[in-house]
Amino acid sequence: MSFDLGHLFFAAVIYLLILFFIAYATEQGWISQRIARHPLTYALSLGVYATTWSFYGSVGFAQAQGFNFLSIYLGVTLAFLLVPLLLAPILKIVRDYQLTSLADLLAFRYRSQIAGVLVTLFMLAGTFPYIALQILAVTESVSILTQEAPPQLLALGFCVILILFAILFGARHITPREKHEGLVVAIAFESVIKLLALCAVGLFAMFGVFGGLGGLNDWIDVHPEALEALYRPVREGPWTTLMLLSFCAAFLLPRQFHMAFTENIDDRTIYTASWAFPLFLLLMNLFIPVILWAGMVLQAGSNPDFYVLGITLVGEMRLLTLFAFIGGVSAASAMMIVTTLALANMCLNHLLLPARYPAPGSNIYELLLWGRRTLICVIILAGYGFYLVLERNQGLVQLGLISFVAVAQFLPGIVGLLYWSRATRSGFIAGLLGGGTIWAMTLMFPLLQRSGILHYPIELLSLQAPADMDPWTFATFSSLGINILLFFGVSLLTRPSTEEREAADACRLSPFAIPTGTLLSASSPAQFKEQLSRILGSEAADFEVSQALDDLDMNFDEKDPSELRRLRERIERNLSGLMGPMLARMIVDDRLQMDSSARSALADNIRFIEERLEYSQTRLEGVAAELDNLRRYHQQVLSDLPLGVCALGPDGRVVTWNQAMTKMSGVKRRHAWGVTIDRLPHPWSDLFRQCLNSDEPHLHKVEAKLDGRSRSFNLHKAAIEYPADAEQSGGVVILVEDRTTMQSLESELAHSERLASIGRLAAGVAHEIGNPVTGIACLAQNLETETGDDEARITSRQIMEQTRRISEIVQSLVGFSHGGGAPGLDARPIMLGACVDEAMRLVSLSREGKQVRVINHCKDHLCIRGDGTQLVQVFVNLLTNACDASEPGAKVDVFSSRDGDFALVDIVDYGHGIPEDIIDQIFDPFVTTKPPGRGTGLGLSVVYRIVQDHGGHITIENESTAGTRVKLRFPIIKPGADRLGEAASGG
Amino acid sequence: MRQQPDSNKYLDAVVVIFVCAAFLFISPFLLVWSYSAAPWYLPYLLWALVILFAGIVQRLRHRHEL
Repeated sequence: MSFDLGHLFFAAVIYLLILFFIAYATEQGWISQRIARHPLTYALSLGVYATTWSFYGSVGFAQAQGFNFLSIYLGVTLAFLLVPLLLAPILKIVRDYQLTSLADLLAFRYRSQIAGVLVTLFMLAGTFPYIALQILAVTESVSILTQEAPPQLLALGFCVILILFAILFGARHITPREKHEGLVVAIAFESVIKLLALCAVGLFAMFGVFGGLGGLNDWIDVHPEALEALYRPVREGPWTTLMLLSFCAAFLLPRQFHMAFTENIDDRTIYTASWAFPLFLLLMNLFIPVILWAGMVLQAGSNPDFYVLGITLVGEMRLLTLFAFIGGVSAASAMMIVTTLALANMCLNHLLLPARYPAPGSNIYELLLWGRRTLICVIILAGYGFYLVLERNQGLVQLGLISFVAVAQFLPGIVGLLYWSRATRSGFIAGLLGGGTIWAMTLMFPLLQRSGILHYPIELLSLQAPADMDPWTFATFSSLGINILLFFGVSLLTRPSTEEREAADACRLSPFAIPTGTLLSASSPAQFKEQLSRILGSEAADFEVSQALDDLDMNFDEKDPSELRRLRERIERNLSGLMGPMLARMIVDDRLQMDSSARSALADNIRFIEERLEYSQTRLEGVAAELDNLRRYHQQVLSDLPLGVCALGPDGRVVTWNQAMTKMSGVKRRHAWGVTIDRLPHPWSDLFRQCLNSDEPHLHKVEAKLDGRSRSFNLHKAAIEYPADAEQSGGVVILVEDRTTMQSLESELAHSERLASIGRLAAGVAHEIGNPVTGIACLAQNLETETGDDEARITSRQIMEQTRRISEIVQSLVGFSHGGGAPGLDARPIMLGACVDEAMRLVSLSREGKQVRVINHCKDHLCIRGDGTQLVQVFVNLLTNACDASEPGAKVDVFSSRDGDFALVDIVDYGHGIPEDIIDQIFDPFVTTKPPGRGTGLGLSVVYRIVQDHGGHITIENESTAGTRVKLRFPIIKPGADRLGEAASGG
Repeated sequence: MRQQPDSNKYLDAVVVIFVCAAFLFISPFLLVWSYSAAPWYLPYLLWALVILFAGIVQRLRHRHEL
């Protein structure tokens, strides 16, 4: 069975088109974001690790090295077990500083463009054999399927198609910073295809060749040497070396770094990948031994590397063969596309731009985009060139391992980045040069010499492994050993520069590296634009500054130095994503110069330290953790203090602003932090200035208008001693006490005291009046009985009537003055109409009451249970308010009615009504419509409380025409009790 | 700060699993399981066991995160 070359080519192109459609559909939103951003999609995209080496070469590797082939994946599993300790910190740095490649990361840490250039060159040298491997695998697979030598142009055609797809996937948009969700989904899809294809072939081998697991076991029983051939190399071969290499390759290979860190959208997904990605690799390798044995049984060709195709060809499974071929194309294309995109970024940032920066005024985005596209072409064509000159009988695994040993040389640099701040750029460069040289002498030069590219005697340029040592083990440990020795040795012999220390602190997330300096060349975002436009061009400068302002949620008119320093840092990070960290730093240092010797504001330092401590809270241990706990406790005490706390640093900027202060002022902590008191809103700037300028440490009863209402504050200030230096000022702390409520309570208390005095006076006066009035009444009665004059008798009756009225008024006054003093409710049946009458009598004694006519329409039979004195007070307060609101000569109506088990009383006046803006708060204490000095604002709140105590309900509404209607609702007593009520309230 | 013990517990679990996996696959213990009388799928079983525990540890972290 054989295939037509044209059909295979057509199938491969169709598959790649489907792939592109998936990427396009994702970017257009046709594929749900839930799928695109799902952790499993991310984990599957990491499956780009499995190239044609895994797809085809694993079988050949298993044949030659037994289960050693598994070490290439078990090392990855170990690396991904260490997500929180190894991968997540790298991801955090990459995201925070917008780094796009390993070269960016190492150049950022060691603050060296040379380091970036070396990493890029070394990565290129290590990757070309790997790209050649993919081209080789695809052409070989075509050769096996067509059963003839592949035409020369096939490999070139494959490369050209991949160039197009790489540009479409990763270099289509003008903004290179954005994540390529489409690429992630497409690579995840490729992983699924690879997995399904290999599993399908494996199942065919298991059931089609061996007839199931039982048949396989029977075959193994008959051929125990096959099983021994798998296990023996584990005990004797380079297992540990391969584990170490794959551990490094898991995150240092360009494609792995690109998918794991650069294209990562949600940092939580990497935690899911810690088990999902190894599971994917396990499934990819599950059937490798079965396919190997099936190939041996079927004698499926001479090269075990391609048993995956061979057994399906011998088994005459045409569709399965085509599916397996597509799986191989998938593995090769995914690797080449992602690797090329990653390398193109590195070459652009560390080779092209440092060598030739675009002239100012040119469209930098356009140039970067075309630069990236050109580099994609060059890298893939260079890989093709390597394929052409390569010795064709190289095993797929051998080519791949050369790349693995190359990327392992970056491991010491990563250790320095994450764990050893003493590492220096000299140490890193020396180690990389040393390790790289040994790598070239042990692996690369021999390969080139065998391929006929190098013609020098091999002894001069290469190192041979000792006879009793595996060549991979020798190459790995000699190159890595020299690398580590030089890295640590040179680092200890040299001193890290200030820049390197800063970068090391940034990478290790040290909470104590406080940024310093003030901006010299720009004092506003507009000046940022002007300065940057001289290098970036006006369009790019405009976009970058606007982008950074958006990122920080900052205004264009921002002038605060600390905010502008944050803006500068943000612009540097954003530019780093565009053109690499070194160039970004050079541009920012050149155009937005800083005076690093200037001391930064205490507020900025506090904010910076708190932000760092918030992030690193899970990293602190021991004494540091205890101190941090103590710090948080003190911070919480300050925050929860019921007094407003505002501390000003030595430079007059706010460094502490607690919750009470936020509640009082409405200014949030993050807005108050770091600003001078002049920039605080009114009235706080004036209040604090008044307090600071005063000689007295305490200011009492300072009046201020807040939200249109008059407020009263006590302000207390104290100087802060600087903890480290008693001579130095640490600033001032101001405590703010809102005493508005207290002041109202004080005035109400004074008013109540006055009323109580008047009440006591009234009771005394009533008693004194009572005696002469009784005397007058007796005399009038005597006159009535003793006189025979009718006119005198009428007069004496009138005198007695008036004295009775005087007695009633006096009794009411005495009763009212004694009422309200005793707590609790003295509940008795009360006639509402009688209560209203008594209240009317009391109100009529006042001046306003005399001018207004109160008409009682209440029905006598309505009786409720309650405290008569308190209910009279309710009606006195309500009628007083009604009279106050009415014009002289107006009237106030009091109506009553029954609604089921409730008695309703409406008091209606025809005065000016209540303003709508306060009608909802009218029952709150101290809310009044009366002019200052006329009302306390407590009358209605007392009414509300008494009505509530009686199980009633009160509402106030403005009448549609004019005036106010107060509606009272009380539960009534059952009819049987009415008589009792009448009896009780009859007096 | 109250979450710190949970976070430390997660990191401890990660280190324990890593050490166990390293013991299985790098230490001389591999001479034990690579004895040829073992079934062909034994390395896969050990590998799956490590993945299973890695998944359990991640669930632990996810629970604390919630």
